[in-house]
Amino acid sequence: MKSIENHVESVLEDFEKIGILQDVLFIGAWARYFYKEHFKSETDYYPRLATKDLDILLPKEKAKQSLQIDLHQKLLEFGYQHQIFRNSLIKYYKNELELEFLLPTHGSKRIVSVKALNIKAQQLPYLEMLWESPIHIRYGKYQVSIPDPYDFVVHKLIISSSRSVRQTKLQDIRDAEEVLVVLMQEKGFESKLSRVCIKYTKNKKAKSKVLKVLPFLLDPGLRKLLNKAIEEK
Amino acid sequence: MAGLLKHLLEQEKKRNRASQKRMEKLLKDLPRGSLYKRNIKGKKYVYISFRDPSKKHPQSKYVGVVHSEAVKKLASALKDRDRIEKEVKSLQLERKMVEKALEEYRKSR
Repeated sequence: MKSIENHVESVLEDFEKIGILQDVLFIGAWARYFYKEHFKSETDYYPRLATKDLDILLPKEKAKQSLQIDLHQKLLEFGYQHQIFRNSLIKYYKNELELEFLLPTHGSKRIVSVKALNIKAQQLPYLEMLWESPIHIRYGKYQVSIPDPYDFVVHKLIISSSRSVRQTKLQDIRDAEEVLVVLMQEKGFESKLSRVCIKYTKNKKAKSKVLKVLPFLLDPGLRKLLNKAIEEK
Repeated sequence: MAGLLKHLLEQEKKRNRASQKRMEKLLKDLPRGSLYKRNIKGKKYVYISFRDPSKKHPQSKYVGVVHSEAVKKLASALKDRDRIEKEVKSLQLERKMVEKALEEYRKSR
């Protein structure tokens, strides 16, 4: 019986064969999972595992470039099923995994065509920060790019404030907190957290979003630290 | 799919245990009890009522004048305790559900 990790590994293998593995960033639930490889020495990190959603972030410039790889066609050739949604978004499915492509934007949420790859992607605000300083981990035979965990945490806090479902909002905050707890054990944690917070909360809107959700953090120490980092600048 | 489910449940059990451990650690640093106000000669004062396991009756201790920094700080810490205790309860419930699902999985094999 193949585990979910095997299924993900098979997607990585497909992406490498297609030639896009090095161009994409794995975000969302699977980024959290891949941090396990990054936090190797810390044994207390057990991320919540999403069974099927594989969120794949593309670089912003892909939307404007001309056709490089017909990813839609390649995915179909590699045995992926696809579903076209009413809003024109296309998701791909293989071995119970659901692949969705995302693109950063400074505007509002919408579906766009990614000409460089001949696919549709969902543009979402605040995703660009995840591309700032990606880290690379080795997962099986493959090198996978994921957001820097500090960027991931601040991004989670920013987007959680816009969640309309309370449970999803709390889950986002818990996810951020779980990663923060591991990061706390790192040397230079406070100064790096402070640097990242200052960088991403220069924008008043982002700052107010983070401040709005800080009271939901369970660890008073972390809350104080983040509050100090944001307000100090 | 069944193998996947078992794997996910076991992962979730580990995560749940680690989260509970973390919550217990946080609770150790937080005060217990509840605040109440007393009106003395027209002025409002805040006291904390708490249980001391070595004593028979609930204990009471003066905290400060209403709106004082000491009262605000303690109220915030008690709120934190309340929030974390709720999280612990929800984690305990989740754990029971996960264990039940794992047991059902084992029975079905």
